[in-house]
Parts: sequence; structure tokens; C-alpha cells
Amino acid sequence: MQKRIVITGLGVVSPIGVGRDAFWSSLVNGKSGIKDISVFDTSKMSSKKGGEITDFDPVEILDGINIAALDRTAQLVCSAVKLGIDDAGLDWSGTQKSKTGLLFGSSFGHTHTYSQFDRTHVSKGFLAASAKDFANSVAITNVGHASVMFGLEAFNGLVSMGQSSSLGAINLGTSFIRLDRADMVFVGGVEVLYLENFLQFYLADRLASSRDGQPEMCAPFDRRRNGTILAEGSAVAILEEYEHAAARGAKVYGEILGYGTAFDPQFASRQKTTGKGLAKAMRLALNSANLKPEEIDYICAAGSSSTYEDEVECSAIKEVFESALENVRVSAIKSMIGECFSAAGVMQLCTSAIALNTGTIPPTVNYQDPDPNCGLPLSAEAQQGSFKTAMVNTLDDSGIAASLVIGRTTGDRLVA
Amino acid sequence: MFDRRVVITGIGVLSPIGIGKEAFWQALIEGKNGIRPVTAFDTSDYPCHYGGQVWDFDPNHYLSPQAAARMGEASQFAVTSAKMALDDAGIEGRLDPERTGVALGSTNCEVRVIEKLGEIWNREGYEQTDPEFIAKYPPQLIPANVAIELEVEGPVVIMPNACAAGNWAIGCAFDLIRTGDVDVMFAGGSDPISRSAYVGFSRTFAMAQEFCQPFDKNRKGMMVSEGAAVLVLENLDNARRRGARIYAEITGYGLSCDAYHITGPHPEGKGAVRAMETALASSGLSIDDVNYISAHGTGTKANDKVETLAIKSVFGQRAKQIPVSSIKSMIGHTMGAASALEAAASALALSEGIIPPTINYSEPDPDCDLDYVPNVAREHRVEAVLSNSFAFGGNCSVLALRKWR
Repeated sequence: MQKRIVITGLGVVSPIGVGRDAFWSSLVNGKSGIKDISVFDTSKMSSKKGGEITDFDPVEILDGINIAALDRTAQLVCSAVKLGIDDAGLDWSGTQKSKTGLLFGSSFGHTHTYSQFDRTHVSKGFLAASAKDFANSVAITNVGHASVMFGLEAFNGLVSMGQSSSLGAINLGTSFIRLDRADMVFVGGVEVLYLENFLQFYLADRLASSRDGQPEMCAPFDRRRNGTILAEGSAVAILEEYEHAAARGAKVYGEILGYGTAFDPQFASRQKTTGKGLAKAMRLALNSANLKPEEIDYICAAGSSSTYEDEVECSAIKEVFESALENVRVSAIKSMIGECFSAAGVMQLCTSAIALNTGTIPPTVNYQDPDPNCGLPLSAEAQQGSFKTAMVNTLDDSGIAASLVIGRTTGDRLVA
Repeated sequence: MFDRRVVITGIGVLSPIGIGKEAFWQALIEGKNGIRPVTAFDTSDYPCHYGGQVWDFDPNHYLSPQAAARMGEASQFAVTSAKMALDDAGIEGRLDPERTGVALGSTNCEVRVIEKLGEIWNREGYEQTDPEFIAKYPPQLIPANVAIELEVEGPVVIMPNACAAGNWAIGCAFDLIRTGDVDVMFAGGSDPISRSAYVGFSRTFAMAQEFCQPFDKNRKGMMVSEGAAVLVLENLDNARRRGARIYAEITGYGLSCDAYHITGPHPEGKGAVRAMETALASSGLSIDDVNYISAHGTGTKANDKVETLAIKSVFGQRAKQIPVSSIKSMIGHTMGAASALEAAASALALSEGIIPPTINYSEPDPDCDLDYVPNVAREHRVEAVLSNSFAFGGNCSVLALRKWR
């Protein structure tokens, strides 16, 4: 029989809060983390907002650990991992963990440090190249710091699938536990706000208010949406095999039930809005979960406020769910957080896991003028109910779509 | 449940010693040195000037002008290698897009694109940035471009796991086939030469001057290089059904992390030992089965010493009887592509019965006392191979391959 993989810890560092409780409190209260960007100068651009994390103190979270060697990306990763360890109630005494591994999604996590390192030695000369910046310019170092810090010896890896990255990491972590490569895997994602990326998205007219005269708002599935708002953050979910979690009396948020991914070349060329790739990813996820569309209670949508992608996601959801859509709740948490690419999927997973446990679905803020081309059952208010299953969708610009299905486990605590 | 067997049926390579499988293999067994003065960027301010490039690579020779123009160099390398691998596998027209995927490794992905962007910022200020860069630099575009050009619609991923990336990608592709998610994967690695890696390794005194001498007593360091390799992995039944030529079988792989130091290896090669042991165990291979090790062998003092220790730790008395060679002596360190190129070389060593040499080897080092196949290729009936790769963050990945018969 296939091993059951459960979620036993959540760690979040996000624009709407640091730590699981702060994150959730903002989500259910519809509190947005989108604000004027302070980390770089936006004065020459018409887009000025981002999901920036302003109340984050890595020194406090990583109490007593030397963080001098970490860049911001690594600070976010290590902090999210530490919060996850604490939430899971793990005794982490500093000993090496040969059967615990780390898998993160990151697409742009190293780009800024790489670019800065490169620009510095090119303009100031060879001797201006710093060993610390060089180490951090290498993508894997984003997570390597966390593996060294927490003694994670099973493996240390990054997955890049853009917005779908962390779902890819979650699936790989699930698979690695099933293949006995680890007992426990910290799966997550990270992205950082920086000028290089922001400017590129801005110039490509992909940000809200990139084009003059449009409101700078993150409004997934709303008629007024006109682009995404970039964000930063990191989140971790701790995955364990069911028996392993039961043996230590772990708190269980839910179970990984299914996953699917697909690539849609037509989406990549932005020619059609059929959402073939995402529809296939959702079907694969449902099949591997052995569930029918009518058995899904909640869809935590990719909904990034992109004019094109939101419409594609709607048509894919409608194609897969058909009449079952009447009984599904849908929400888009990016309405409050913004688009943090590789960290998005795992933040959606954290949201879904807590939603199932609390019977509350967060609102989609700014959803006031529904786009008639979308027509999903969204709400600008939080919704209550009894929910057993959730689906997380991600849809990257590149054409890589992924979908994850999780389920609530009965009871708050597993009994060994 | 996970009993499907996985074989290599196509190989596509871009390397400093040759473009295409034939040229690459011929150069490997001739012991050709692909290291020359770097032309990709100006090295006059640096203490080192040599490196590896895919000399004479012209993307327009392999890609349509429109496709080449919309891609960064890492994508161009990956797509070209994948097309070569597809041709080599001879499965034109028979791919089921839904049952086929792409898994690649890289160190920092589209580095040349980021570097060009930085040059413009330095020179003219960031306002002058061209929006074409966003169309090129996201890492996920590298496997996505392969998927577009080869009409693949299954899992598409890149794993930026530094110098261990190629084996990660090949290992994950192996899992996807073995578990039945897909039937065919294009798996490998791609890394264009990185100016910042060149500077970083020179600055931290890990670079050699004119040639790379793995395991030699006088070795001075690594040689930053570039390249790509993509393998066609296929489930055995599929390959048999279409009468494919099979280079080798992939039997398993091992991953580990030293969790010791952010850049350097564990002094006793703790992670390397575990990755090799896992690769063996997951393959059902014993230490007596392995009769060739494709070394990580970067040519740095630390790596080669620690790798030797780790091999001895895993293989005990038998270690000295196993030929160990580093093709990095010829092609330099192609970063995220390295283990993909080494997997290609290992598959060819298995099918051809020849082991590529470690060139530039002249003086034995007491710390490195194994059989490194010095300077001259060797005919050898290779039965099973471990292909090692170790990286920043103490990241280790080891692939196990077996002769197909």
C-alpha cells in the first residue's frame, strides 16, 4: 500500500504576517499586505506597490544563530524553516538529521544577489568581489544555509517551475518519502522583491498599473484587474509519513492526496484561453487522489490578478468541475499577498490546510466587480462551513501548470 | 509499484571538446583538452584567463532564427542538446506528448542574460533596461523552451542544484518513469559560462591557470567551463517495443547533503559516502559490481582528496582496483551540466567498453591513491558505474548505471 503523507508543521514569512497565526489572522480578516515598496526606488515607474515584508526580524526568529553569511533570500528560507520546526513541535537539538531533507521552490531567489555581485566586480574591479556575495549568488545557497543550520542531511534541493515551483517541491518531497529517501521533508518556496525583477515585469506591462491610467490593485477575477503585484516571502510545510507522525503524536493539518502537472505550449504563446494544461493538471491531481470533482470542497486558486491567466484558470476550472462547481468555494489569496511565484503554491497549501481545520475560507479581497468572463464562486467575505478537501492551483507564465489535492484528517491529533 | 526499468536511448551533447555525441566521445577517448583562453568575456582584470566554452557553437545552426532570438544561452544549449538526443534516439513522430517530460539541471540558469542586463545598468542606468530580458531569464523557461520545441506536454522542471544538478534532474526523471507517471523524459543539464562564477572561483583561489589536473599532486584548482547534455530516458518496454538502441540502464541514484559547510566539502566526505551508498542500495548493486567510477574530480585540493577518501570509505579494499576518472580534466567544470555530461560519458563507456582518461596527470598525490586512468583511455569491460557529483551546500548526487544486455 502506498504510504500516506501528512502535513505536520507550517512556517510562514509573508507580507501579511510572520508565523502561522499572524498569516491566518490577516487572511481571514481580509487584511492586505500590499503597500508602497520601500526596498527600492519606484519613483520613475507608474507601478509602486508590492507585497513587501516589513515586520520581519530574522535575528529574533533565528534566536542565537549567526546569520551574518545570509542574504535576504536565505534569511527568509531559514526563518520559515525555523517557524515550521517550532510549529511542528519538533525537538531540534542541533543533531544531524540523516533522514530529513529540504526541497524548496525558487525561481528568482538568487537573481538579485547574482546580479549585484556581477555588477559590483565589473564596475569596481576584481578585488571588489566578495566571497560571501559569491556564495549567495549561487541559487542552491538559498537553501544550503538552512540545511547547514538545521543539519538536514537527506538532501537539499531546489525546484524551478515559476509559480508552480513549490507544488513541484511538495510533490517531490511526497515522492521521496514514499521512495524511502527520507522520513521527513521540509518543503517550501521563496522569492524576494528586488528591482531587477520588478522592472522587468513592469516594462513588459505585466504589473498592475504598468499601463497608464489603470488602478494599481490586486483584484483576481475582478473586471478591474490589469496585472499582478509582485511580492516576496517564504513558507514551509513539514511532510511526514503518517506512521512517523503518529509515533511522535504530531499535530496533523492534513494529508497530501494527489498531484498533477502539465505543460501547455499554447499557454506559453498566450494565444488561447482554454487552459488545457491546468485542466490536465487538475484531472491528474484528482485521479491520483482518487476523487471526483464533486468531492472537492475548496479551490485555493492561482488567481494572480493577471488579465490573461485569471481567465485561463477560470476556463480550466469550469471545464474540469462543470456542474460540480456549484458546491465548491473558490478564493484567491494573492488578492492580499500579491504574486510571490515560487513561494505562492506553498502559501496556498498552508492556507488550505488551515482552512480545512478551521472550517473557514479566506475572502478574495477587491472582488467587487466580477469579471463576467470568469464566473467562479468567489466571495469578498470569509466563508464558514465544513470542508474536507482542497485543491491548490498554480499556473506559470511559462506554461507550467500544477495542481495539488489535500484532505483533512479526522481528529486534531493522531493517536499512535 | 516502482518496478519499471529505465534505459538511456538517446544522447545529445554540447561540450568544449565537441558538439554532438560522436565528436564528444571521440575527443574523450583521445584525451583531448578543450580548455583555451576565454573569449566569452574580458578576463584581463582577472588572475586567470583560461576556461572551457562550447567553441564554435552557432545556435542558428540548430534552431530557427526566431527561436534562437527569443532564448537565452542556457535555453539554446538545452534545446539544441535535446534535439540531438531526440534524433539520436530515433523516436521522431512517435512521442506521446502527454507521457513525456523535461527535467534539467543548472547552477544559475540564464546567467549570461542577467550579466548583459547588469552591463546595461552599469553603463546607462536601469531605466534603459530592455524588456526582452524578462522574456529570457526566468529559469523555468529553459525546460519550457525544450518542451515547446519538442512538443512535450508532461512534467517540465529545472532544478538549480549547482554542480549536483544534472544528476538530480536525471534521478527525478528516472523516478517519474519508474513510477509510471511518464514513459519518456528528456533529462540533463545546461549551463553557459558564468562570468561571476569565473570571478568567484578565481577570487576564492579555487581556479587553475591553464589546465585542470584532477587528482595530480600539483593540481591548482578547477576550470570554469560551460556545456549541456540531454539524455533520452525511456521505460524499457517502450524502448524494446520500438527496437531502440539502448546505451545503458539507469538503476538508481543517491542524494545527500553534508549539512556541514555552505561551500566546502565535509572533510571526510560524509555526504559523498552516503550518496554513493544510497545509489548502490537503491540499485541493488554491491561494491563488487561497480567497475568504473566517473569522478566529480574538479581538480581542487579539497574535492579530489575528499572524494578519494569517500570512495575508499565506500569500497574499502576494492577501491584501488576500480578505475576512477575525471572528464573534467578535458572539459573543465561545466557546473550544472557537469553530471549530465558525465552521465553521457558513463553511458558511452558502458556501451563501448572504453574508459575515458584523466588527462594532465603527471605526479601522484599520496592523498589521491586510486587508479585514475592517467592520460590514456583504457579498454575495459565496464559493467556498472557510479557517476559522482558534489556541490555547494554540501549537496551530493550520485547516479548508478549498468551495462545493458
